[in-house]
Amino acid sequence: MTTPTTLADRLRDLAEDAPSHLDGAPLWDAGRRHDRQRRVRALAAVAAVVVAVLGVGATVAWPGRDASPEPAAAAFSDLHLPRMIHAPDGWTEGTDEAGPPGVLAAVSMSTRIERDGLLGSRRSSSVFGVSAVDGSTRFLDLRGASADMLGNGTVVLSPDGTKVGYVRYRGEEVVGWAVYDTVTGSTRFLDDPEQAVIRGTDAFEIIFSGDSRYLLTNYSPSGSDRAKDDELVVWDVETGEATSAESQGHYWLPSPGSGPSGVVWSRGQRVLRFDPESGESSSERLPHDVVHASYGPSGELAYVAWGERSRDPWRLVAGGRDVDVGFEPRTVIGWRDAGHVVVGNLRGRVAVVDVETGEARADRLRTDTQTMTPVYATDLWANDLVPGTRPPPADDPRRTTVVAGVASATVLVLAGASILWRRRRVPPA
Amino acid sequence: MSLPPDRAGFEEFVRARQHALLRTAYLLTGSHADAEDLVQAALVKAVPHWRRIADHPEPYVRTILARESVSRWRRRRWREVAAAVLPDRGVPDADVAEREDLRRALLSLAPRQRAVIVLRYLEDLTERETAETLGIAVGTVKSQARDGLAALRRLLPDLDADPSVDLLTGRP
Repeated sequence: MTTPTTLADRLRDLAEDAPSHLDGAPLWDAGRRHDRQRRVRALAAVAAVVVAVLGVGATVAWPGRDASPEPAAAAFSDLHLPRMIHAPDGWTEGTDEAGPPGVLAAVSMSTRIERDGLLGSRRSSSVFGVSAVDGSTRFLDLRGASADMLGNGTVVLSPDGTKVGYVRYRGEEVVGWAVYDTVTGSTRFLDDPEQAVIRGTDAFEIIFSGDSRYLLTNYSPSGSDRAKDDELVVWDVETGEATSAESQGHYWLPSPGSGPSGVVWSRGQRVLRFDPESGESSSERLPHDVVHASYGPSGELAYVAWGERSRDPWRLVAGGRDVDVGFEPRTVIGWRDAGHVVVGNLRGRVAVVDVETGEARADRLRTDTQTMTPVYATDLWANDLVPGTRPPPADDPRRTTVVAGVASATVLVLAGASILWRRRRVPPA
Repeated sequence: MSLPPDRAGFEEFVRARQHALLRTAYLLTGSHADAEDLVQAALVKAVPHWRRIADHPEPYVRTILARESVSRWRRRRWREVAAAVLPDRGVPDADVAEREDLRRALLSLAPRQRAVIVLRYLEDLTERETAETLGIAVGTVKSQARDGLAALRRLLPDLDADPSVDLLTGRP
C-alpha cells in the first residue's frame, strides 16, 4: 500500500473508514412528517406574531376600555356639574364605539372628525355629553338624528342626567322625537302615528319635565301650520305614550316651566300644572307676566317675570319678593334645595338665591364650544360644582391600525422572504 | 405495489449515493454514528423539496449536509466536553494510526474550517462552489481554508513539511 502524501489523498483514505450504508430507516416517511411539522410551526409562528401585533394595536387603539368602569352606577352624591365644559377632541370616540356614557352633567355640540372611507375624514357638528361622574366627554351617536339640524332647543338633557331628548328630522322636516338613555344606551322613538311629518309653529323646541319623566312638545296633531292648532303634548319617555296637556286654541306658545312632578308651564300671569298620570290640572294667577316658573322640592315658587314696561329688564321673584341677583335673569335653572333656587342668564352667569333671605351668591358656568349653549342636568345643582375636566387628545384610530397593518405586513414579507431564501436555487454540482 | 414516482426517485438516489454522502459526513463528524445521523437528517430535510430538486439532488443534499454539520455543532457544543489532551492511542498499525491522527486533527478544527477543508479537498469543490454550499463569502472560504490548513500542518507534521507544497496536489 502506498502511503498517501497529499491532504486529498489522506482525506480519501480516511473516508474509507466511513460506514458503507444507512440502516433501513424509512427516510421518505420521516421527511413527509418533518415537512408537515415544519409547515405547522411556520403557520403557528406567523399567526402568533400577527395576533401579537394586532393585540398590541388593539390595546393602543382602544386604551383603557376595560380599565375604566362605566360611571352609571355612581351614587347621586358623586354626580357633579362642571364649571367649565371643554369640547372633546374631534377624534374622540362616540357611544357607538365606547358604549353609553352613564349619567351626564351636560350636553352640548362641537366639531367631530370621523373616518370617511379608507383614508378620508369628514367633519360635522355633533352632540357630546359630559360625564357627571368624572367629567369625561363622549360624542353621542343619536339614532335618527340629523346633526346639521340639531342645536339649541332641539337637543335637551333631562334634569337627572340620564336621558337626552332630540328632534328627528328628515331633510328639514320634523318627523318625530327620540330619547336616548345615557345609562342603558337604548333609544326610544316618539312618533305621532297620524303625522308622518310634524307640523306646528314650534315643533322643534323640546324640554323635559322637572321629574325627567316627560318630554314636552308643542305641535299640531291635526297637521296644521296655524299657531292656534298647536297643542302642548307630553310624552312619557318610559312608555312612549303621548298625552295632551293643553288643547289647541291658544295663539301664543306656552312658556315651559318646571316642578318636582308633572308638567308646568305659564301663559301671561297664570302658571299651569298638569299631572299626566292622573289627568288632573291646576293653575294659579300671579301679579306679573311670567317668563319662566319653577316649583321647588317643597312647593316653593320662584319665577322670572317681565318688567313693568316692555323695555324694563326681567327680574326674579322668589319667596314672594323681587331679588336682585346682579344680572338680568333669563331662566330659573333649578333648585339646590328647598331653600335655594338657581337662576341664570344666557351667558353662563348664575346665582344661587336664598329664598328666605333673598341673598344671592354669584357663580359662572363656562364652555369653550361655540356651537351650542350647554344644557345641564339641573338636579345636580344639589351637589357642589367641580372645576371640569380637560379631555385628553384623541387621534385618528386608523393610525394605530395602519401601524399594526404595516407591522403585520412586514412580518409576512419577512416570513415570505425567509421561505424564498430557504428555497433559493440549487447549488451547482 | 409500485411506489409513487417521487418516492421511488428519492429511494433510488439514497441507494446510489448513500456511501458517498456517508464518506463526507464521516469526515465532517469523525464518528460513524454521527455520520449516519447527519446523512439521515440531510435526506429527511431534502424530502419536502424533492419534487423541485429531483433532477439534480446531490448538490442540494450536500449543502444541507455541510450546513447541518456546522449548525449541529453549534447546537451541541454546550454539552460536549472539549478534549484538550487526546487520549493515548492503542493502535499499533501505522496506516490506521495515520488515519486516526487525521481524524483527530480534523475534529480539532472549528466546524466551518473542517467543512471548508472537506469540501475543498475531498469533494474537490472550487472556492466559489464551497462558498455557495456553506452559504458564506468566497473570502471567508479562503481564510477558513488557510487557517484550517495551517492548523493541520501544525497537528500533522508528517503531512507536508514544506508549506510551499500544494497539499491538494503534492506539487510545489
